[in-house]
Amino acid sequence: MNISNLKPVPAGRVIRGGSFSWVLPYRAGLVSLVLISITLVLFIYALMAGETSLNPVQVFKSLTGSADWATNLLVGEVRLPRAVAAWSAGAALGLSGAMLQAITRNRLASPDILGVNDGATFMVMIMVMFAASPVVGEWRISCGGALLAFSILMLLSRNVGSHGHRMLVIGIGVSQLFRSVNELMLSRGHIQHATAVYVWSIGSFVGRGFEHALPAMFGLLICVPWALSLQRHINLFSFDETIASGCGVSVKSVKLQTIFVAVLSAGLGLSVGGPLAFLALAAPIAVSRLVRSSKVAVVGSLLTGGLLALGGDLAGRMLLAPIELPVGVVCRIFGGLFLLLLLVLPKRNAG
Amino acid sequence: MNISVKKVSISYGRHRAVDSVSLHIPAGEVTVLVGPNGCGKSTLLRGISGLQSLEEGAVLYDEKNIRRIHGKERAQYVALLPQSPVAPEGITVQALVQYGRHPHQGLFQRWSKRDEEVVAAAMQQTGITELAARPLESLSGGQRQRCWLAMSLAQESPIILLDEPTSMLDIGHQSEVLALVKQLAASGKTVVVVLHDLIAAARYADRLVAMRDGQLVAQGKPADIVTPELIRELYNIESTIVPAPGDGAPVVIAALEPVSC
Amino acid sequence: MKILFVILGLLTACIISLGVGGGSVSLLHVFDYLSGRPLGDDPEYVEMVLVSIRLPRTLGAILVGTCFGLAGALLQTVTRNRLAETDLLGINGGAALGVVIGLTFFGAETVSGYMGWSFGGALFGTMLVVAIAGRGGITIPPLRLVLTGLAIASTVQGVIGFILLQNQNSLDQFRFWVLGSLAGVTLDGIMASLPGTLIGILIVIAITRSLGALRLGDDVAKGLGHRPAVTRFAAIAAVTLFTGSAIALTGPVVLLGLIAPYAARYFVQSSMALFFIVSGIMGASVLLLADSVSRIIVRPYESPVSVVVVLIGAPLLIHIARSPKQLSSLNS
Repeated sequence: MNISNLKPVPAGRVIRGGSFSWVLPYRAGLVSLVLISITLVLFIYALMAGETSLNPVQVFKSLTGSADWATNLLVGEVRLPRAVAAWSAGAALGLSGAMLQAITRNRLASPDILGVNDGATFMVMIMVMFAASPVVGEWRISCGGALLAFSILMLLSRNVGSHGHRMLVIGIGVSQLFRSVNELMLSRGHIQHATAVYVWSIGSFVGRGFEHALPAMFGLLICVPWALSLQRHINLFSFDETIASGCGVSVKSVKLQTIFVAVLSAGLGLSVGGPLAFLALAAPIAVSRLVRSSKVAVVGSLLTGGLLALGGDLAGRMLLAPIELPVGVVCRIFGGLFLLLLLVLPKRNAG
Repeated sequence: MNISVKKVSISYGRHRAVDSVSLHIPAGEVTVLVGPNGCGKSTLLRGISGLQSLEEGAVLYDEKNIRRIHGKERAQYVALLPQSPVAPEGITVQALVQYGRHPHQGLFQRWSKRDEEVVAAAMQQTGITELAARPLESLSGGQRQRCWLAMSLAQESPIILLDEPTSMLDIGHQSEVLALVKQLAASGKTVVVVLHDLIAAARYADRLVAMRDGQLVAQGKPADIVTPELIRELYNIESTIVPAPGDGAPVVIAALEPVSC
Repeated sequence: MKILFVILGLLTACIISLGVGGGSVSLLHVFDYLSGRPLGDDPEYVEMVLVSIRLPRTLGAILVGTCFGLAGALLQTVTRNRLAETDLLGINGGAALGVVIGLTFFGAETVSGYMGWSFGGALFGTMLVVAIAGRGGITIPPLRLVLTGLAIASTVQGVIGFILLQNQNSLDQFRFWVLGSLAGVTLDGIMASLPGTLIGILIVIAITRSLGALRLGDDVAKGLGHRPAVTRFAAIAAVTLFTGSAIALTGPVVLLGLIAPYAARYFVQSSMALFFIVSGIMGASVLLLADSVSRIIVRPYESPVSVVVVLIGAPLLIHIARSPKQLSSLNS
C-alpha cells in the first residue's frame, strides 16, 4: 500500500505556509454562516416588529438617521439597543455553556443547573438591598455572584467532571439554597427594590440597552480569543483526564482557565437581562448536532446563544401582544421541554 | 531511550503503593510488569510516565530527570495508554489517531505535512487504515485497542507505556495486540506493559518484572525467574511450570487445590 | 422506645407552634390554656389568637407535613432512590399548574375548589414521572430522575408564569400560595384536604407489606405472592392524593419529602410500617418547627415556610448526592 494516497483527512480545508498550518472546518464554517444570516434576518425583524410596526425601508432609513424623529427614536433608542442587549446576553451564555459542558464532560452542565444563575441573583439582591444607590444587574456584581456559586460547587463536588450527574445534583442543591435565601431577602426587603430584583430574576430585556450590553460585549472580546486558544486542549478532555495529560495537556491549568472563562461569561451574560434558563444548555448541544462533531464549538455556541436569546425576546414580545412575555419565561418553557427531550431520548446525553 | 527507575516510592494518602523500587528498562525490549491486584504495578507505570508525582526517588529517561519535563515536552517523550480509556461519543478512528499529534501542534500549527504522514504511518502499522472513517464504537474490542495504539504511536514518542492493553480481549485479539507490541519494541522503542495474564506475560516479555505490595520481587528473563516459588510468593498458590512447545516460554499451571499455607 | 421520642418530639413541636408568633401570646399561655387556668389580663384575646389563628395553622402543618413525609417515603421506596421526592420529581409543579389553571380559567377560589385541580395536576406530574422512569424499568439512575424532575418543574414554572402574566387577578391570589405558606390556612381548608389524605393513609396501610417485599426485588416479591405492578400503582395513587391535598392547602412545600424519610431512617431500621409512621410524624414535626421559625426569622414580616424548609433540605440534598452510599435506598 502506498502511504501517500492514504492521507488522513481532517474535516476541513488545510492551509499551510512555512511552519504555519491551520484547518478551516467545512461544516462548522457553513453552520456559522447560516447562523449569522438567520441572526441578521431576526435583527431586522426585531427592529421592524412591535406595537408600531415598521417596514424595512423605514428601518433602513432610521438606521442611517434619515427617518422622521419618532421612528429614529423608536429604532435607535428602543429596539436596536434592546436587540443588541439580547444578542450579547445570549452569546455570552452560549459560550459559557459550551465551555462548561466540555470541561465537565457532561452535556447537561450549564450555569443554570449548576446554581450559577441563583448565585448571581443572590449577589445582585444583596447589592440592591444594601447599596445606597442600587443598579440592578451590574456586571461586576453578577460575575462575583457567579464566581461565588461556582466556587462553592467546586468545593462540594471535589473533582469537577469525574462523577457524571453527581455534580449536577449538588448544583441543584446549591441553587435551591441560594434561591431560598433570595426569597427570604425578598420577603423582608423594601417593596420597590424587591420588584426591581424580582423582574430581573425572571429574565427580561425590557428597558435594557447598550449600556447593559457593553460590559458583556467587551467581556466577549476577551473571552472568545481566550476560549479559542483553549479549544485545542479542551477537545482532549472528551477523553479521560489521563489521556489528556498523556497528550501533553496541563489538565489543571486548562481546567481552571476554562472554568474561569465560562463563569466570567455566564456572569456577563446574566448581567444584561437576568438569568435565561437553559439557554446555555441548549446552544452548544444544538450546535454539535448541526456540526456533527464532538469538538467544543466556541464560535458556533456563541452564535446560537445569541440567536436563541434574540429569537426568545422577539417571541416574548410577539406571542401575546400587546402583553409582553419576559424572555426568561419563554426560555423556561422551551428550555425545560428541550431538557426533557434530551433525557427521554435514549443515548443522547453523555451522563 | 533507556529508562532508569531509582528508588521510587509513591503513596496515596497513607497507603504506600510503590515502595522504593529500582529498575533499569532498556530500549528495544518489551518489559512486562506483573503481580497480584493492587500490587502497585499500574501506579509504577504512571510514575514512570510522569503523570503521577513521585514521593521519593527519581525516574530518568537516558540522563534526563522527568521532574524537569512538563506538558507537551513530556508527551513527546512518552505515550501512556491507560486501562480501558474513554473516547468521546461518535468519534471516528481517524479523528482519534489525529489527537495523538496534539503534543506536536500549536495554536498556529494545526495540521502540518508531518502530522499527516505520521498519522498515516501509525494507522498503517497497526493495520487500521481501512477503518479510518468508521466510528470507534462500531469496531470490535481488538480493533479498538489497535486504534488506541495507533494514537499512541502518532505521538512519535520513544517510550510507550501500556496499562493492561489486553484486559477485555479474547485470546485471538490478545495475541494480535501483543504481536504488535513486540513489533514496536523491535523497531527500537522502549515498551513497558502491565499485564494480568501470566502466560501471555511470560510469552511476550523480553524482561519480566514481578511486584507485590509495592515492592520489587524479581526481574529478569521470563525463563529465568518464573518458578513455582515466585508464583507462590506473588499469588499464594501452588503451581507447576512447563515449557511451551516451540519457544520454551514458561507456562504457569495452577494446582487444583491452590491454597498453600 | 425510640418511637416514643418521635411522638414526644411532635408534641413539643405542636406546643412551640402554638406558642410562637405575632400577638403577645406566649408559651406560658398555651400551658395555661391546656390546663384550664385563667389566661392573664385579656383571656378573650388570647383564646382568639390560639384557637382561630394558631390552631388551624398548627393542624394544617401537621396535615401537610404528614402528606409530604409519607409521599416522600413512598416514592423513595418505590423508586429505590433516596432523592425521590415530590418536588424534585416535578409532581409539586404539576399540582401547582393544576391549581393555577383552576384559579385562572375556572374561577376556583376556595381550597375545596382548588382540590380537584390540584389532584389533576399532581396526577399529571406523577404520570410524567412514571412514563419517564418506566422506560428503564423502575431502576432509572437516581440522579437522572432528579434532572428529569427539574426539567418538568422548569417547564411548568414557565407555563405558570405565562398564564399568570396574562391574568393579573390570579397573580394576586396566587402570590401568597405559590411559595408555600401556612399563613392562609383555615379550618375549612383543612376539612377539605382531610378526605384525600385519609384515603391515602388507608392505601399506605394496605400496601405496606407488599412494599416491604418489593425491596427484595420484583421476582422475589412475585414468588412470595405479591403483585408488584398493583402495589406500585397503588403507591403512585397515594402519592397523588397526598400531594394534591397538601398543595391545595398550602402550596408547594419543597424538599420536605426528602427530609422526613431521611430523618425516619435514623429511628427505624427494618420495619416498613414503622418507617412510614415515623416518616409521617417527622414530616409534621419538621414543618411545625419550620413554620414557627418562619414566623420569627424576619419579624415583623413573615417568610414563607417553604423557604425555611429548603434551608434544611438543600444541604441534605447535597449531602446525599455527595455520598454514593446514601443514594440508593435499597439497603435501608
